[in-house]
Amino acid sequence: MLGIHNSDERPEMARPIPLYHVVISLFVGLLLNLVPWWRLDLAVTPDFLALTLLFWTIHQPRRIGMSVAFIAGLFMDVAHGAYLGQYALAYVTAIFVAQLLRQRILRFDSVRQALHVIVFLFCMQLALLMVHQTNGARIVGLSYFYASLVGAALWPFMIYGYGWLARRRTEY
Amino acid sequence: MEATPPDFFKRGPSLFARFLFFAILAVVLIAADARYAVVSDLRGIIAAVLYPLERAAEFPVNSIQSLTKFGLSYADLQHENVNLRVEARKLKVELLSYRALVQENAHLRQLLRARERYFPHVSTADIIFVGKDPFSRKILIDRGLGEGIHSGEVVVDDIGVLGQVTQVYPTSSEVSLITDKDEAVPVQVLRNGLRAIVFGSGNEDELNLPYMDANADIKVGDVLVTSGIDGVYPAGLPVGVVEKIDRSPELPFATIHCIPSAGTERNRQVFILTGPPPVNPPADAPKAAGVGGPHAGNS
Repeated sequence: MLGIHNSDERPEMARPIPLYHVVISLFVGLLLNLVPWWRLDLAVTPDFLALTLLFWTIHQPRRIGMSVAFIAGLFMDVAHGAYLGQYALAYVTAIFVAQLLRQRILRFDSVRQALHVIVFLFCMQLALLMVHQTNGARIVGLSYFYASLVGAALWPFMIYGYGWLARRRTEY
Repeated sequence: MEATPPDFFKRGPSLFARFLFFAILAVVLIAADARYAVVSDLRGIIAAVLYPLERAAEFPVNSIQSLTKFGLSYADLQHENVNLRVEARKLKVELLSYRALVQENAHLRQLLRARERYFPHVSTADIIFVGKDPFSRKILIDRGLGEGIHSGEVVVDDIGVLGQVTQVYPTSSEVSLITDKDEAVPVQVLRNGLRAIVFGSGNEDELNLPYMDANADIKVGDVLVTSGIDGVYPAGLPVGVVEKIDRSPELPFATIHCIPSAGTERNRQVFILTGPPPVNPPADAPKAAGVGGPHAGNS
């Protein structure tokens, strides 16, 4: 009986965010990833698309799954000139770890959630590194993983933005 | 074993199964892309979708950069303009003698019955995207199939060789830099004509020169230029400068590091050398066999 529930009517903890919010935010994440930050001499830039994917995986798991992450990864592969499937694998790995820890992470405040996000992003970069090493790339320094830290630092702001969006929705 | 909660909400295959499915799919794709060129159509489609987004994403950075230039005074600009005019006139004069030299070269080669040297046509392109991936040294430029770009064309900046076009999309193309770990460029030492092959290191400011004899005549500060024997890079373009040589007696080869001359960090505009398509080997294979002896035909 419970099994035949329509997925759209199932009461979430909060009202589900409409699909277009998710789509727009993913689009913005993709755009931010395509911005040529290198021309502004920034040392590390976080992976905005991965962050957005992780965010929705944790807060709206019914909207975003591994298939979306996979397709998003293919886009980044082409943008970076990487082997097709490399970022796809990395994103899917991050989403997998995030879904494993999802129930746990939701009970923490935003800063402690960010600490978990470091792990997710780290797993993602590790997957990328793995493919590169199999293809015979040189060893990189630890500074490669700074991007994970910077990305995780953005997490509390994303939570705040999401909360603002949800509050605004309930007012209507 | 811990009891698992009853499955109230059926959600298809388990988390791990889904992960496994996508991971295997990704690995198969990577293998297909790395070994066989079967997925280049898919790449082309995605690149076509990405292109307008890349152009749009460029906008904020462009405006920030033009804002920082906004503060330049009129006098500065006028000064720069005068300098540029002088520079342009100087180059024009040099170009005159260059044209004369091209003529003379063609004439001399004709006398020697040597194949004509090919002088590429130069077109410009803007760099749209530099991958932040520390492993693959690739850039995206805003010229593609529509502008007649072909795979294999050489990309340079005003100082030296940057790389070659490796993927052409409808409106953009992907350039593999010579610093990419998979790139190799046949070079010559400018000082004595010694031939070698330079390999990318994956590091943006380092090239390697492996397989050089420990006693090879090469010094720190030697300039390396393309030798032109591969038919991809025209001869005589600066590639790099030898920075460090380690002639360790234990190793059969010297360890030589070079600094690439060109760099994507310096400017946004690059030049594509297009020209007559490279001479097809079958046409002059018999000639080569006649001149070069038994091994020439095999290559």
